[in-house]
This record gives sequence, structure tokens and C-alpha cells, in this order.
Amino acid sequence: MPASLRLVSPDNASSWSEEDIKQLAGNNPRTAMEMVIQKFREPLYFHARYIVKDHQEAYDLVQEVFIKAMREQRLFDDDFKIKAWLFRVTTNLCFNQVRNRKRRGVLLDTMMKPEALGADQFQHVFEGEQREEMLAALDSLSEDHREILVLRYYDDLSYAEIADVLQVKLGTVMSRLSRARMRLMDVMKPSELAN
Amino acid sequence: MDCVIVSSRIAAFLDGELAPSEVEQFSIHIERCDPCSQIVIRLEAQRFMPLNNQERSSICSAAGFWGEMDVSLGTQMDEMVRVRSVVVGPWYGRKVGLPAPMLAAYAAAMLLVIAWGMQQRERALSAEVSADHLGQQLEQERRLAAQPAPQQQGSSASGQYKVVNYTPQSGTF
Repeated sequence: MPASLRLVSPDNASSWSEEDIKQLAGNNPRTAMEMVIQKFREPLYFHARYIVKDHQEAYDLVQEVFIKAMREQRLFDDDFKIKAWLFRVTTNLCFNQVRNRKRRGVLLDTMMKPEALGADQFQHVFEGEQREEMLAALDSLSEDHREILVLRYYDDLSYAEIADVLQVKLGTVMSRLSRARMRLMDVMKPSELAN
Repeated sequence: MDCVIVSSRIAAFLDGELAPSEVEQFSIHIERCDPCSQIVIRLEAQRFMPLNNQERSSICSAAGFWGEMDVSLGTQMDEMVRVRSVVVGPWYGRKVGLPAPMLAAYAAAMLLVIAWGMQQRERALSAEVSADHLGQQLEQERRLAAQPAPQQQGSSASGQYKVVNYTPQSGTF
């Protein structure tokens, strides 16, 4: 029989704090790891999904992130910021994936994409003219700008959390976010904004 | 607050992340500065439209959505726990979690070190013996040099030959 996670009720996942999980890790690291997975897999999946725009790739990337987390010796250290680390690793893996995809070539990408989209039963949720326009506009931005906009406006992270993820100061988050939004304003047509 | 600072704080202003004192300064500036005011208005119109909780849960609560990940990570976790328990056991029950080639290399290195140590010891002992021997030789030579030369008999006698006075007897030939 294959091993599986013995997860506690998913409804409680968001109520667990990192401190609670770290305390538990002292006695039972496996359960603590399961709690980390339970708490963060959904936000990480959507974070990855917004960047790579493919269900299966996002799913596999999140899985890879948790495997890395299991191997991370400092994960349950007192001064270790689990959420920031998970989002940072996910972001790096996602942009690596996007870069690899670009390197493989546009031809292959256009051949594969319709099949991938067709196989994704959840694609319709992401569809919608305005939503697609905004996501397409985000694609045209630099990685730095795209990353910070996704973290703030799609993952709903606070400025302090973003500073932890990007390992920059709060002032840098403010200025980078402002520049990213202004760049996005330049990219999008005024009519799109009016909508 | 000038235009440069205002432009770097627009997002924070719109997201309500500025301190009250900064909000006041920011507001004063955009009331007076038309270009900055226009930028604020245009950025305010941006709509990112993230998925709401209902949309998110409609995706993730689908039957078996996390099933594949649960099985995969569960297996990984069991493997990790097993490996860690081998490496981080108590010292008296600890198994050596090293692969065979590493163990062989370690053993070979230890043997080399022991052989080198024995060779060094051997060389040190032989050097000591030869030093003793040399010391004895020197001592002997010193003693010989200190002894007085033996009395010479005869005029042409050397120390190596015995001088014999030969007187032929009559009737010998």
C-alpha cells in the first residue's frame, strides 16, 4: 500500500501558525511537515499557477518545493521564516521553468499548449476577458516586476512578507511595486484600464 | 515630499501601507502636482482580479486534486524519516550511513596512514642505531689518537716490519 499523508482536517490549516508548527516539530517532525504541506500547498499552487500558467507544471513545482523543504535542515529553526522560504523557492523554480520553456522554443510551446490547456479541467476558472488581459500584460513585464505584483495582488502577501520573500527592505518593496504598477500601466492600453 | 519620492510610494499609498504622517504629505503633494495626481488616478483604476476564495476552493476541493501529491510526498517523507533515523540515532546504536565506496576509501586511507607511521618509526630507529655506531667509531679513533707512539728498535724500522739482524753462519753454503 503506498504511503500517504495523514493530514488533519484541511479546514484548520490556515489557523496553524508557524510557531505552533515549529513547537510540534520538536516531538513529531513528520506531523509538523504534514502541517506545513497542508497549510501552504494551496497558496503555493496558485502562486505557481499565476507564473507558469499551467496546472500540471504548477502542481509538479509545488511538489518539488515540498521535497526541498523536507531536505531543508533549518526548516523548523526558531528564526526560520517558513512561508517566505517556500514562496521564494517556488518563485525561483517557476521562473526557471518559464525560462526553460522559452529556451525550448516557441514552436514546441505552441504545439504543446493547446493540449495542455485542453487537459486542464480548471482552466475555465482562469478565463475571462479582463483577467486574461491582465495576466497577458503581466507576462510582458520583467521577472522582478511580475514576481512582486503576483506576490502582492494575487497571493495577497503583506509588504513585510514580500520583503521577507525577496530578502529586501520594506522601502524597496514599496518602490519596486510602484515601478511595477507604472510599467504595467504603460503596457496596458487606456481602454483596458477603463474596463 | 517631491515627485520622485511620491512616485516610489504610490503603490503603498493605494494599498494603505503608508504611515499616517506620510499619507498626509503624499496627499498634500498630489493635490498640488497634476502629473502625480494623474498617475495616481490611472493606477487606482488597475484591477488585478485574483481568484476569490470560492473560485480557489472550486479548484482545490475537487475530488482527488491533492491525492497524487499526498501519495508522492508521503512516500518521500517515509524515506526521509528512515534515512534520518539511521544517521541521527544514539551513538551506541548508530549505524554507519555511508555508502560502500566511501567506507572502502576511508579504510584505505587509514591503512596508508598506519603504514606511513610505521615506516617513519623504522627510519627513526635505524637513524638512531647508525648514530650510536658512528659515535663509537669516533670514540675509538679519539682513544687511538691519544695513545703514545710505540718505541722504535733499529734505525730503519717501521712499525710494520720486524727488523732482524742476520748473521750468516759459517758452513751455511
